Amino acid sequence: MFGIPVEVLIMQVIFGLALGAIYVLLASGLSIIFGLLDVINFAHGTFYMLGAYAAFMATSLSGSFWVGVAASVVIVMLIGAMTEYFLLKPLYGEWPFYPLLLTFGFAVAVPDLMKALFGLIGKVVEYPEGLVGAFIWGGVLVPKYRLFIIIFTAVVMIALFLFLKRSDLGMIIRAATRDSLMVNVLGVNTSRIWTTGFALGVGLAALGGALHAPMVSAIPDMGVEMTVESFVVVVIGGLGSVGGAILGGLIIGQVVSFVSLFAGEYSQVAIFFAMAVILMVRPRGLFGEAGRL
Amino acid sequence: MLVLENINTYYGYSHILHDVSLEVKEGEILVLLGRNGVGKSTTLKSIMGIQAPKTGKITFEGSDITGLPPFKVARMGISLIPEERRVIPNLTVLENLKLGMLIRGKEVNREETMENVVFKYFPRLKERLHQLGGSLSGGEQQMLTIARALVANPRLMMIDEPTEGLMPLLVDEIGEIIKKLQADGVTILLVEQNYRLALGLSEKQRAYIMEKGHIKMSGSPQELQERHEEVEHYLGVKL
Amino acid sequence: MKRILIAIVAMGLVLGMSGAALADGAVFGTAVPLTGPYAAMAEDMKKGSLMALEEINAAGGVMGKPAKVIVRDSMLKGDVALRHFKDMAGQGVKFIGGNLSGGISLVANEYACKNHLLYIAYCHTSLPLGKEFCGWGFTAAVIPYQTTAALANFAFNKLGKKWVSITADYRWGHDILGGWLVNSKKYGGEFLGNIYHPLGTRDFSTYIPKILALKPDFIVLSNYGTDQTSAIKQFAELGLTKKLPVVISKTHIVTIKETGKAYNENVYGSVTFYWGLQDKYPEAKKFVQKFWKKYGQPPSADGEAAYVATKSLFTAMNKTKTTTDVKKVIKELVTMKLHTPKGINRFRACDHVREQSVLVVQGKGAKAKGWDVATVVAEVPYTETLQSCENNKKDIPYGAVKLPGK
Repeated sequence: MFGIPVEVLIMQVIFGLALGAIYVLLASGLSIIFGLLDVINFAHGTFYMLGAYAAFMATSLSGSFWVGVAASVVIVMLIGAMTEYFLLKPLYGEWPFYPLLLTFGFAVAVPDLMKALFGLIGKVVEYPEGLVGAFIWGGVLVPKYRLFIIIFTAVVMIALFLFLKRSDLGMIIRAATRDSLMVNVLGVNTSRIWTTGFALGVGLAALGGALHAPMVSAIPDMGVEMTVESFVVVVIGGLGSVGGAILGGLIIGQVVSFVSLFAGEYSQVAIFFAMAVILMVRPRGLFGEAGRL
Repeated sequence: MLVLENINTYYGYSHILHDVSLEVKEGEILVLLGRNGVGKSTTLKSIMGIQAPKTGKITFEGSDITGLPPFKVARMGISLIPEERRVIPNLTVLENLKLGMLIRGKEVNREETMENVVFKYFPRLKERLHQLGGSLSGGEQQMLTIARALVANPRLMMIDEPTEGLMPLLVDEIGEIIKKLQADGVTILLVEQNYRLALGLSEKQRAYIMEKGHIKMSGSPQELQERHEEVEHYLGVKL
Repeated sequence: MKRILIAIVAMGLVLGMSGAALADGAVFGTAVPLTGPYAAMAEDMKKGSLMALEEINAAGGVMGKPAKVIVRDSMLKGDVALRHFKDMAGQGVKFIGGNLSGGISLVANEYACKNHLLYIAYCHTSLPLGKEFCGWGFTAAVIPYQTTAALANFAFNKLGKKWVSITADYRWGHDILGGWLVNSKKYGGEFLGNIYHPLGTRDFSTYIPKILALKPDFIVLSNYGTDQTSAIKQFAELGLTKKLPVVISKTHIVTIKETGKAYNENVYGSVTFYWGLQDKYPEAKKFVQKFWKKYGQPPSADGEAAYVATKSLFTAMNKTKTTTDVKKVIKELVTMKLHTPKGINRFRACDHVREQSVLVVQGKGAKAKGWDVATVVAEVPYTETLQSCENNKKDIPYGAVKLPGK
């Protein structure tokens, strides 16, 4: 194809998948939060950033990358739960833009707080031992860490789907996404479900941040573009649809990857171009209303 | 069983319920009658805690439930079948029913409840179990919402206009179901526009008539029949 | 309404007061991107500048009065920087400086040219080249091509001839790529291809298959800040930096530190100052020790350039006994010796470029400890990197290069 060796194309697909996986993690979390609370979480990238920092701290304290990732998700979920409980909850039912403004304010204030706490210089999270390097497989260079990210994200997404489809809590979350008042009338404390859903959503963002940290180093402003890009992915997939977020993330991963191959300087712009094209064909995104959760 | 004492409910600044007092006795069917927009649904919502009253008191089996959030009211043993039915469209029929059973926690045997409660009342839901709630017809959705409320094993069921928009054949079917529910010991608070159906359900039933947020009169179907001119004045139709 | 009026009057008072304060005595008005992706580097510039100010004031200030440095946040945006410069100039400031972006530096230079202000850039800047040069601008760091000249000498002699490049798609990146192409020809290198990437790229892995397919002897990386960090970390992730050397056109001690182990012995970069020079120059030792003690970290090349710029400016004012006559100060700056941490330097009279060396540093990877993150492997004197004034004026040979894909 275009005189490019097929090995290069396969590698491009793999790198695109790994890149897409990070988008999938962030966008599915953003989608759950939007579906449940009707709030576009402008602080999503901020939680991604907190995930990277938490991974940095936990990794340096424990010496293990895996402990770092696990701790990062737990810590950020707790922060998320507290944010929802103490900051967002009092604003529901007021003017609908209040919760949105709050997440926006969070996204401005928290990175500054991190600058004050951790300084401007990025924090290094090293790759886990054993996942550095690549193996050659039929002429194709397969980077271990990327492969790990792809598989791990797939596992997390399957677990998320099983959780949503098979467990009672997942069922309640799906129901509350559509009609939280009725769920409440049926005897479920939906207020707690919102807190749980928000924590779950930002937990996924934190996981994205923790897994991304070795590739980029943690800096306070790292979440800014991530919020925008994961929002693009969610819009492509259809607001509130986890399936759409997954598909959207994979599409964007491949778009960036292949645009990088042919015209590297347009790789970021291509994201928005892809969104525009998809929205022209399907104005509600790929999985629009019908496929919500 | 359920007592409302002088409740006043507002939507924003508009005063909807004015000093509404009523009582539902164990085992009976209590019907709330009145024209559109007189506050019947608001009364149910006030009890459920969806639209909490500003003043007044609601007690259920002796405990004060005024202003409790809906889920707590539900846990006391009251279930509401709202006017808009509100089947969860993205959940299957089975999941909608499971949602109804959640309130009973681990004590409930889900399979058994399906057999003994759901299929006994609504055999038709059996073949629809794995369809999405949103794909059901209006009548099936109404049955599903009643079944969903029923599996919670409530002592008081509040049903808001169950026959609205249904075919005549289904209207009778719903009537039969309500009778059966009462026979099985469920107390019922019913809001209904179909007066003939609503007043001919049972021996053990009473009705309240509302106008502009006030309770205007009450009595058994016979008593209302005796004062039918007054009743017709409030409802705007011939009985 | 009354409250609004009071507020307006109050604001007017505050602004008026600050205006009066700004124009008083020796003032150096600077703007650096204290927020944004280069915040850490900008912070370092600020520190260098303030340390120079402190030394000047400790020695009696300028003409017996304390001098002042204003540091504003340009947010890495040309229009914001320009607004700050206009505002300061409007309040009587005649000496401006700063920057971290070659593009913004040219905007500042142009403004200085038109309004007859003295402007000192302490980052890579092309202001001495072609029609950009007007006589009011100074370069306290270097011209972008100088670093490519220094690195090319090292890379084509030590690492091999075949190279590919990854270039940030903006003015500075283009200038650097042009520099590499010229020097590649000079040293008999073989250019295999270039990839442009947008600013703010986080994932460089998608560029790697193409690079590997070209089988280069080394990779030239021309970007800055977090883009650089991400790129090196991801090369390392693939095990690339174990075999394939990476040559970074302009690096920074903060980047080396935040890249961690990945910045290993196979990664080379250029800077104009590294604190390790303290073993070579006694002046550097004094400067580094003092800076480190004061701020808890060693100075970067950016910090050193800002320090030299600030100190030289105020020294020139003292010598000419003026805080307002820009022309006199310019004349002094190009005549006097600059006592810098790298020894005696000068601003070249014909195009105001600081005559200073360029360093090639090598990463230490896992052996790095604290701020001991790199080794200086070469110090290339300016005579080998800087073109003559005539060439700079005509912007040759670098300006004549045709860039791929542009």
